[in-house]
Amino acid sequence: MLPETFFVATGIVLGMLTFLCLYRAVIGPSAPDRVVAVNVIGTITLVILVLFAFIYGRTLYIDVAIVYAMINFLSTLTISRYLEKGRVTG
Amino acid sequence: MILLDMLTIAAMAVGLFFLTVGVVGLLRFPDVYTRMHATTKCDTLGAASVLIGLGLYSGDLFTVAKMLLIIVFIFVANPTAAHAIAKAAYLSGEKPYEGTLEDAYGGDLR
Amino acid sequence: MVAMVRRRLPEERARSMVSLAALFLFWILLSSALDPAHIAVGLAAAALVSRFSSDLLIRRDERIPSPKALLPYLSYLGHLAVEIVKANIHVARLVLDPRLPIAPSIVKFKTGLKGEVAKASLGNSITLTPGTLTIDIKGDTFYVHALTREAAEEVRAWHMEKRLKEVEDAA
Repeated sequence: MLPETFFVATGIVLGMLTFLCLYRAVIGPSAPDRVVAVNVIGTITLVILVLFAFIYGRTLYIDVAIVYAMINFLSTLTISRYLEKGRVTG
Repeated sequence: MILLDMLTIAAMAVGLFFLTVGVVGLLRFPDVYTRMHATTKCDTLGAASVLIGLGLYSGDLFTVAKMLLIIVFIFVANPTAAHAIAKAAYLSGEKPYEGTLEDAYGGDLR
Repeated sequence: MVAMVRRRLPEERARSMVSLAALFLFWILLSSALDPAHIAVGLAAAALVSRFSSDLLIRRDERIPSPKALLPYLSYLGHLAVEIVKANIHVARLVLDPRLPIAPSIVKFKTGLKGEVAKASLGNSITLTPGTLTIDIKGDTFYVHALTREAAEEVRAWHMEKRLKEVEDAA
């Protein structure tokens, strides 16, 4: 019983951490700062998704987490490409 | 399985600590490059540590394998993403903060 | 269409086999099922994808490393794990210190590594280890952002680069 309680507590702490990241994403000051903050939110969300899989006993969430990790990586690359070159394609 | 539960909780506590340190670093450090130091290192190990803890708890082979896949993926993807953001930040004109001692990159770009 | 009927070179075949194995393993992992139907569909899908787009997974100018490189590579991974833990404790100390004792700098150094994958691995290792973050790689020059003076000195002659060199030589 103890680990399940700990999972829920971990989930709550991680949720609070995403709000702290959101603070950095809102105040910036520059665009790369926001990208870094959003990337961290993505990593924490990934961990929360896996925690969900264990709290609710549904392994499906782990597959969602795998796809989420890939989308998080791709979106970060795309946004930094846009910042660097002013366009996404080419 | 009290020992395995203890290991799970220990690994997750370590992971939680490092994730928290990463976020505190994101809030405290003075410019985007130093912030990235805190987030890439601590987030990668923190997330991996929490996932290792959960993997110990699950006891299902496929679940453990999927956890390992996620861990390997974030160990490759996080530094690569940080590299992309750092380069983009520099090339989009983000200056390192005034305490920076030496800037070999800016000199070579000119 | 020409590519479809052309006879395939041995290294092309090897590349295709490696990507088939990787894709099939990934399929098994995601489907989490070992019954014949799942395996048959997975093999067919992996074969189709690796036949037509194996050069997306492994580029044409990259060689498949030989199995001899496995031992140095494992030793490299082991040392990397130790370095990552050290890096995290180092950063945690800096972040939690109320005075925030950082002295950042951007330094450059040249590497003796040749392959693109080896250079990318070194870049990622530098990012994950104490106080350093790769900003750019141009040819064989690395531009590294270091958090402290000591980290900047250390990265110029780094023991992990020698380990990667051993892996590259064995491959």
